Amino acid sequence: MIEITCNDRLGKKVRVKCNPDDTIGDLKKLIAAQTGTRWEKIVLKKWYTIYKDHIKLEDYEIHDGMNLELYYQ
Amino acid sequence: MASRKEKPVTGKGNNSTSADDDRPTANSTNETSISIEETNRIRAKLGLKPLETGEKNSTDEPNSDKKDIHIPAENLREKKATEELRRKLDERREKRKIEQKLAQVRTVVQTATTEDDDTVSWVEKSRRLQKQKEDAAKQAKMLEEMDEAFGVGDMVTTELMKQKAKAYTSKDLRGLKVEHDRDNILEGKDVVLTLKDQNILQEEGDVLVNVNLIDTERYKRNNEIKKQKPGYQPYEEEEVDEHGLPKPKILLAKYDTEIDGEKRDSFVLGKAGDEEAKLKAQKSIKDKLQMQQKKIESLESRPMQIASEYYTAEEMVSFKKVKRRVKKGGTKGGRVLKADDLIQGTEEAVSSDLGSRKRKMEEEAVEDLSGFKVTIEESQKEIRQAIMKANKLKEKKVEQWDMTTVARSIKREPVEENESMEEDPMKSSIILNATAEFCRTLGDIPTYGMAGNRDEDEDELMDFERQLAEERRRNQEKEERKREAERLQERGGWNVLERENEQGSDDSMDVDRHEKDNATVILDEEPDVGSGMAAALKLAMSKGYLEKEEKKRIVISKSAQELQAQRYTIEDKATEDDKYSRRNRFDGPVVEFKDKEGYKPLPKLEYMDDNGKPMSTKEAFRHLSHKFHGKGSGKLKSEKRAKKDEDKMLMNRMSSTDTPLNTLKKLQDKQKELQSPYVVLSGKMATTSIVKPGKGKK
Repeated sequence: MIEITCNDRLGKKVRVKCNPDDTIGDLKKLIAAQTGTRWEKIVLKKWYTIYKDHIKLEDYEIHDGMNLELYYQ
Repeated sequence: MASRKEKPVTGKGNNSTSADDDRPTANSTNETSISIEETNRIRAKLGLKPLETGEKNSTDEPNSDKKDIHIPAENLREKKATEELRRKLDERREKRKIEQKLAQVRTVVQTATTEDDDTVSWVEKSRRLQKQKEDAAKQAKMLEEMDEAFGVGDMVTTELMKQKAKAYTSKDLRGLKVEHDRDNILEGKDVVLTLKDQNILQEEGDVLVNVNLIDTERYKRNNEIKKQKPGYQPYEEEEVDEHGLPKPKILLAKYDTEIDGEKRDSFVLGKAGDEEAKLKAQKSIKDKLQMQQKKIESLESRPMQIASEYYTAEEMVSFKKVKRRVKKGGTKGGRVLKADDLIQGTEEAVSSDLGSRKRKMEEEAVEDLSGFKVTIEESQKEIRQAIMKANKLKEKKVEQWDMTTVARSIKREPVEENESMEEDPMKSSIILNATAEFCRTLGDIPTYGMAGNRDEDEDELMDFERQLAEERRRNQEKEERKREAERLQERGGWNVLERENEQGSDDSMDVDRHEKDNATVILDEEPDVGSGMAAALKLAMSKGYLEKEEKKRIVISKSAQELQAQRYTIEDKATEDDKYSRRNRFDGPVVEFKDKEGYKPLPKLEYMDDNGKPMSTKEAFRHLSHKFHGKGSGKLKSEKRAKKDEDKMLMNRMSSTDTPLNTLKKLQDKQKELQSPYVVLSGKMATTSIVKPGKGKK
């Protein structure tokens, strides 16, 4: 179980617990559950890399404690 | 997202108590996070597996560490090799199995060898086999009989029968929808209809379709699409139905299939279908009746005519002049009282007008009836106008504009101003006026007024200006000379003599002068040139034809004068040493050179060669021409010359007394050596021999 911090620079900072073999889409759903947005509206980025929904976290090498940028589309 | 029970706390530094684990915790860093249980709940809702707990993490970590280690890529060759091996092993296994099986089977040979090679035994065997078959058949029969006894057989048969007998009648088909146009299915033709593919959960009933008809419909639709006209036609014409009724225009018709779905014609089998057909027929009849009732007019009904260029008779009627009621009579009748009337009090006019008004009313009445009594009215109008004019003339006589009145009216204003000026003559109150300023500057122009055509301008000048001049003249009586001096200054150096010149001028000039003197100081009359040269010169100067040359004298201050050279003439400048002066060495003063008095130069020119030898005239000229033309003689020539020079040189070096080889000197030297007056040239006693010793000895 890993914990990922998601920060949109407008005041929303969320810590989400998930499995490394979860996909980004699952992660987005968890974030949505915590923040109250719609998961389809969330875009997770790191600098200019946009994380795609169907790829697992471990494939993206997202480890425990990593920070992701939260944007909305 | 699905509804959550607790909302996350996003307060600023709002720390919630950790008693309730399920509530999301907010740190001072403004982060929100929820517990594992809550997360698992959410995950379950989303359909994800629950979080892996930490224990697994511990085991995972070494694995993950191992994962971090570089795993070499699969060796495809090895993989292939292993697969090959596996395949081979499988094959061998199979083979073994088969062989085992076959091993069990007894071959003919084997049987032949094992058993007695007898026909008898073979016959027995075959009989045995047959018996077994019969026994098996019997067994089966027995079982069937048993089934029949229990009644199971019937059930089976009935079921079988049911499956076969699926026949249906038209009654069954009643109410089924066929998704084709009724017209497509022709009478008398057999059309095989099948059930249309539908979604499982569709609640609508079954729909029957024919495969061929579907194909034809699709083909037609595709054709339509291919032919498709542009969807938007801004100036499309009104389309008319088959009955002639205009087709209703639907907005954005091209999106209908997308929004509503494909529209397909369908009809229902059975009784319900018949009713539908009846409705359709009724509708068509109704339409036809409607058509007959309406009067349809096409746009082409009226034939085109060539427009005529001239008006027709009926159109001319519209141009008939309609005489309007003249308002003049009306205004006259009830006219506004003017000042003229008041002054005059001419009752005649008023009374006559009243009369005319009466007449006017009669005329109006006449006019209403017909418009052909225009002429009578016109004459009356003229009469009226004449009367008006006469009245006006009378008025005019009373008020006549005189020259005197004009002068008086004009003159009135400035007099007032003059009086005001007289009150304080000494106090020169400056009233600035644009024209006054302009006129004042006119005095500065030296040529102004000298041409002699400025007499008329005098009148145009402002009266104000004139007054000023008058005032000045008044003061002039007291201080005349001062004024003159001032005037001179103002005029810019005009001489007093001019005045004297003017005195001898014509009468007209006198008059003008007087007037001028009275008027202004600025304008002076043109002087008379006939008196003499001086006058003409003066005139020219004043006009500006001649320029007074005034030399500019540069005033040097005393201190500066000390710095300047006291005795300096311009000739000294010429002897200054600078680069320009040195070039012209011989430009200076030429004086007889007295050092070499008796010197008579010898005009002897000596030219030297490159080698330092003196050249003859011819050679010198050659040298010069070579230099002039820039090219010398060619190779041959120069060699020849060089050889000649060399020969010459040798010639010079040659001894005149001796042979070239110095024979005589050698002889003399030999004689000295031998101490004899003779030298034996050859023979036994010869000391010198030409023959080489080496040859002889060999």
